[in-house]
Amino acid sequence: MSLVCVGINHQLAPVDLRERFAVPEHSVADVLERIRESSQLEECVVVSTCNRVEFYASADTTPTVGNCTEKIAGFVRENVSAQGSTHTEIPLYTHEGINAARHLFRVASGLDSMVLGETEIFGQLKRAYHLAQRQGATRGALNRLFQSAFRVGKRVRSETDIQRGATSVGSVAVDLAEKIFGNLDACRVLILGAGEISRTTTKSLASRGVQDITVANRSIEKALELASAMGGRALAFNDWSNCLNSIDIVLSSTSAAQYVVTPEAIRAAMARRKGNPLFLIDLAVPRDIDPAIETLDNVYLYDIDALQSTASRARKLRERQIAICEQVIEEEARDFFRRLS
Amino acid sequence: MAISANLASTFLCGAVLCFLAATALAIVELTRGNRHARTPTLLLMATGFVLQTLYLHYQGEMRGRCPITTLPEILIFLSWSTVLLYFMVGQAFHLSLLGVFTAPLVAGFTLIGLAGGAVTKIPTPPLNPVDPWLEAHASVSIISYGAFTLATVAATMFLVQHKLLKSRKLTQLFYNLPSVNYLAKALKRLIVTGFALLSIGIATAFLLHTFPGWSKILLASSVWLAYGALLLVDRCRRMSPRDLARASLWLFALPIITLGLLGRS
Repeated sequence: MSLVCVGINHQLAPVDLRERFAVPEHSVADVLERIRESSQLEECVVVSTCNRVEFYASADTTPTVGNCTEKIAGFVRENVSAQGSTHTEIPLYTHEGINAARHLFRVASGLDSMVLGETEIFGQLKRAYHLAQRQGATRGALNRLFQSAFRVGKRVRSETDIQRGATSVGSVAVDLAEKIFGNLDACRVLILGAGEISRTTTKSLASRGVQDITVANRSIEKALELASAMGGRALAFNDWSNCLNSIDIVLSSTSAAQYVVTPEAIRAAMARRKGNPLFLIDLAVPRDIDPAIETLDNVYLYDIDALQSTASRARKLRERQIAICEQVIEEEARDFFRRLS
Repeated sequence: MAISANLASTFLCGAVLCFLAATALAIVELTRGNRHARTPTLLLMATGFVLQTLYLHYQGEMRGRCPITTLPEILIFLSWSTVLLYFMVGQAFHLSLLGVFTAPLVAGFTLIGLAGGAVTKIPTPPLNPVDPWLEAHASVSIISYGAFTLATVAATMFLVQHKLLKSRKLTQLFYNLPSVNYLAKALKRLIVTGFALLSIGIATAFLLHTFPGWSKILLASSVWLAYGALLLVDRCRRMSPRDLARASLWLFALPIITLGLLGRS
């Protein structure tokens, strides 16, 4: 039984090359059929995400593993050339036998991802496997390989801290908001300044359920633009403090030289907030929110440094988990290959 | 009757072991973030609760009445009511971690109760006739103390999470604790529950065949007045959750002191 993996990922190839390899979901069936036919493969799964395109295959009839790998690599190169690639050398990697299993287990665990420990890849692998399964392109070996990979991915995530903590400013802000308010569905957000960082952080909040978004910006056009993109409403910049008593999260990133949010404004708002907490996120440099506000009761203030250092700590924590994850993967890969052979 | 005493003793020892094991697992869960420890902690708490219930049954059989007549018995009943409320409130508020903080507290109460002689060796002649109002008065009053105990647990958790958020120390503990908003709501509801139950407990004292005496009524009323004043101040002046949590921590000394005095009288 030959088990191989041929692919290209973000570590080896830039996006302009990776995009030529991408296999859109509607073409998966066709690609699977052609590759199985041309390479005489029993089974094949195509994993195509923004960071990687990988072909996992197994064959009973192919004489050697190397032969099988070469056939897949040849197919991929031909396809890429057919799309008019100007790259003379395509940095494909190949893994065979136990190394192919080990690689898939690493991918499923998020160890091979751009953001270490991310979980999105797990769902993408499942989707790729189901597409192949629907085409009848998986049988004994790849079924067992992918089922094992899903189990290993879950095991690594539950037994280690590889996905612990948030690794970006936006996700740290979301984590903090959840630890202050619990469910974010009913949270109301006020955005001061319509810059890019506000947009990305608001997107993170919206992805966890925030629906009520108000944007205040000195240029009302920009406020309207961001508000419409986020499904919120725009507000004249001078009016933002009037709605503070009905707001839960303030996200500020204006280019003002002085503090925009002052202790007096917050103190006045807190008196009308009936004991509800207020979360202030200051993403601006120079800062928009007076740090003296931090001393106010029931108000939680985080500036860009605090958010970035938290994200950085989480990244370091994840990096320290790699060795533990690799141990689990090694143990599982050996066990899988012993059972397979 | 000797069999009942042995069974009561065995069940109580078993309950102590369960709560101690739950405490150990809780520490692992908190410090190492082992999410697999959550279900066993819950199961251990549930087993401890069942064993405590069985103890109360056999001890009640020996006593011929509700076993809340001595301080050790009151402590056991208090820890039983705390666990009961934890299962009711913890689940309702999705505060599974409340158990992590509750386990050491109830383990401590049960252990002190066991060491203090909560198991009767010689049966007591049953009260004749048993006054149902007395049983209701005593048990509802102690369950109200259970609510205050759990409010203290929620207040502690709130203050810990609040401190972590303010100091920006986003440790393992931070990720394991519930949100400050949930904890503040749970704290307020538990104080209201305790206050309502204690009001019923005190009211039923006036329906007893034998009046329990003004000293007991005054002790219970001091707790009732203190928590009532806290709720009144909160309602009129909108206390911040931090101030409410701090105040409820200080106030918890009062139920503990009065419990000791009630147990002696």
